[in-house]
Amino acid sequence: MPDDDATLGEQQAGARQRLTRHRYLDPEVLVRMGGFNLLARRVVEGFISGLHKSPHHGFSVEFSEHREYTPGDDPRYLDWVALARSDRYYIKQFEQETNLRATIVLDASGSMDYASGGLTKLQYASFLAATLSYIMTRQQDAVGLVVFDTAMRLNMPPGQSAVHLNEMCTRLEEVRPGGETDISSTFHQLAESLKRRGLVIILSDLYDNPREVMRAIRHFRQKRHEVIVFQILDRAELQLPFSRLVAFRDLETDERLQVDPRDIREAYIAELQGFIDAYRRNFVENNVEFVLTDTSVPYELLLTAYLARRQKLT
Amino acid sequence: MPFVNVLFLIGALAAAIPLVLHLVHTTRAPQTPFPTVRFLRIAAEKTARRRRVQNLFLLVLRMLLFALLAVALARPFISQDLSLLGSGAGQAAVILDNSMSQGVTYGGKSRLEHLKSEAEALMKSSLRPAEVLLLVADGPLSRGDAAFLKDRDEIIRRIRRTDVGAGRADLAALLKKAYAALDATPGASRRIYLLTDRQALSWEGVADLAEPAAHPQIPVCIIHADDPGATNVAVTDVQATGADRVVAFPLAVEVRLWSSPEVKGQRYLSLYVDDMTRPRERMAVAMPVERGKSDRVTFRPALGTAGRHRIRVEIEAEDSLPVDNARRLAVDVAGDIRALVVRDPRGLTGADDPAFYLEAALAAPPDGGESPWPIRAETVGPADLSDASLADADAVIMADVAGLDTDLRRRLETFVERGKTLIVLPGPSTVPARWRSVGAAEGDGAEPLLPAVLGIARSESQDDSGPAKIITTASGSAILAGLADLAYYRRVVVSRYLLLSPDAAAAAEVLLALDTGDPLLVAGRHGRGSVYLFAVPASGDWSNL
Repeated sequence: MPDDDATLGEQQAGARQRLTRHRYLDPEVLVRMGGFNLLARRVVEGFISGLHKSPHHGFSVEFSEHREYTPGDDPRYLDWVALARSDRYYIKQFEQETNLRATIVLDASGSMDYASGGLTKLQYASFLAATLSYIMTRQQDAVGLVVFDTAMRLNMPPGQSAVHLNEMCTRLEEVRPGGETDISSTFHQLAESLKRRGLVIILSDLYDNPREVMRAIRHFRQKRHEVIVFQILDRAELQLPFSRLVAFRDLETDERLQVDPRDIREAYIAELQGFIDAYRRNFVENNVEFVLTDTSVPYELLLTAYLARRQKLT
Repeated sequence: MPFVNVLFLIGALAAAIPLVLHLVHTTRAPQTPFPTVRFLRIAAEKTARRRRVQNLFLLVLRMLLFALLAVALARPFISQDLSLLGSGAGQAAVILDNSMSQGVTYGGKSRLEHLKSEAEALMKSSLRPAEVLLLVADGPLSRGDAAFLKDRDEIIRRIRRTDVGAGRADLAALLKKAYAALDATPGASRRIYLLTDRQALSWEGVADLAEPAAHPQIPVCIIHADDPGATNVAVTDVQATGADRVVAFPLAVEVRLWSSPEVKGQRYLSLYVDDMTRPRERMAVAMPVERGKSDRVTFRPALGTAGRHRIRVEIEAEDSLPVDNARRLAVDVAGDIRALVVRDPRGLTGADDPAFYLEAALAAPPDGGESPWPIRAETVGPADLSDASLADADAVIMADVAGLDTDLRRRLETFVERGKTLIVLPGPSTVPARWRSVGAAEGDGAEPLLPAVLGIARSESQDDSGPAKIITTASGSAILAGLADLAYYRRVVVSRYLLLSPDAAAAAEVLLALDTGDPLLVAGRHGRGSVYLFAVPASGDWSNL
């Protein structure tokens, strides 16, 4: 319930102000991201509103929240009560008014806690998650957050308000890397729980059984969700730049392995590349968009390039 | 074995340094967290085997190098023989393979020249042994007892004098000789140097030698000619086969060939007879030669004159071993054959005369032919077979002679033993019992003259079996190979014949047989000559032969 001592607009404005204090939302980056939108490529359920076209007509009667009236909004949804109260024009937003419901799935397993310098993979993914969430919220789409390792640890259903986004960012900051990875069970569970088709954005290093992972992703596709996968790796994982004998410790299993990287580098890179390429092929076959990145690439540049490319295609 | 510089021996302990380093290197790796070791493990497993071998090899090599360096600097010496100090050490057998294959040329020199250069360099180097036993595969140096030499210049002279031989090398025998000689020497440092090519024929039997395992202290150092491999075409054999070498009679010159698989196209094989400047015949041969299929070529030259003829067969090929491209032989060709046809003087004439058909067969053909007829036949009675007449004859043909008395038998035995030919055709007048007495039956222990014992006559009327037909049994015989068309003889029918029992003592061979299973023509050896015994006469009474 809105605070009686503050106007709806003030509440929204306060929420937006709090956003800029979140760790994973860099105001300067957000400003630079201002011109980009994340558009669904496929027809999604929902109303014609803003950026996405919906095959359906009608609306849900369940009120969600207000937003300030902007020229072009349908006057049928003016909240006259709010107008009488505040002398300002507000549009009612209903729960299912948005055309896009996106779910960001964040891998918080132990392997994501690696950094060869700078950000850990989890931190990098969190920046991506927060920024994408901001973009979608700004374009009046709903976005949710799922965090997992061996099981689902957090499941925030999609929402499109600033309050919701605030909550998401707060939860992101609280995420701590966990133990081992079980991508497929989380995905299957999530695929079953998503009632309406939408967009699923996966942020993970995908260090799990590829066959099981693909089975789970096909579950999303069978439910007619659009899936985007960001595979996040560290440059050291990709290049194995170590120049002396090293005793590696697995961040998830704690397994120790002592090798001379100089001896095995070539074979290691071939193995890893084969692993990545297998995913890539499977994603293409299943109409899943795939983006490989490493943490040495500024996340802003990654998103800029990605969104620009995506906008050309949609 | 004292060391002159003990301090350097301490260096041998340095051989342990790489091992220590290896162990140290192994245990002090820094720990680093990593997202997953899965791909590291897979990559490590794939490279582990290769790396283990390489690491171990490197470790051993380092240790060995340290040890050798230390020992070399420490300079061990043997107090018993001071002559070895500073001039190389020990005894060595140097086996120089100078077999024919060493004649292959590459780089402008033969393989043997290359190997001789290596051997000479060895003698001039600091590694040269103090005493050398030089063994060569072929030539003057291969004969006689070889001895250890100390004079380096003499050793080098002998190496330089070695030429390419004519045969193959028996490396197994040479190695046995080398081991035996080194066994008898007291030296502590003994070794064998084997300078050879990779000719498989030379290495036959080497793998079966027991000496290498029994002499681990005598290493064998193999120095081989490093040529890129030779393509070769060779005439491996030439033989004159076929019937007696008589003027106007066919002479088959059979040639065996060999070629490397890489040789393609065709080559010309030339036959030279007496005139070595101009080939009598040329024949194209497709390369490569296939063993058992196209490796035999036969020339059939007509030799028009009696006497000795020189024959050379040469394949025209530019290869790396020209010495085996030609072979030579000499053939003695008789001017004529003097044949005595012997028949009992019964006063028979015309076709009744048992010699009638033989005289016709032995006479010159009516059309003459290009060459003079080589057969001169004369019909005589048994009493005319004197030693003088037999001395001039090449063959005696007995036509329905009743039997032999002792003197005639003796003269004929002597005649055949000298390398002549006796042909016996029995007939209606032949008394088998008088022929059976020829040879061992008289108890004199002499070798039987005839290759079979004459038996009773057998005719078709006896068992109503019909006339017998010829079945050839020795079609591979050189004698039958001279007949123009062997199939013609299958049309011969025999109504009556004598039973022949081949005599194993005479090494009898049944050349023609009848379909009754009985021999028609039996051949045997007596001394250096041959005896042929028919079961039918040369007339139309018993057969249409």
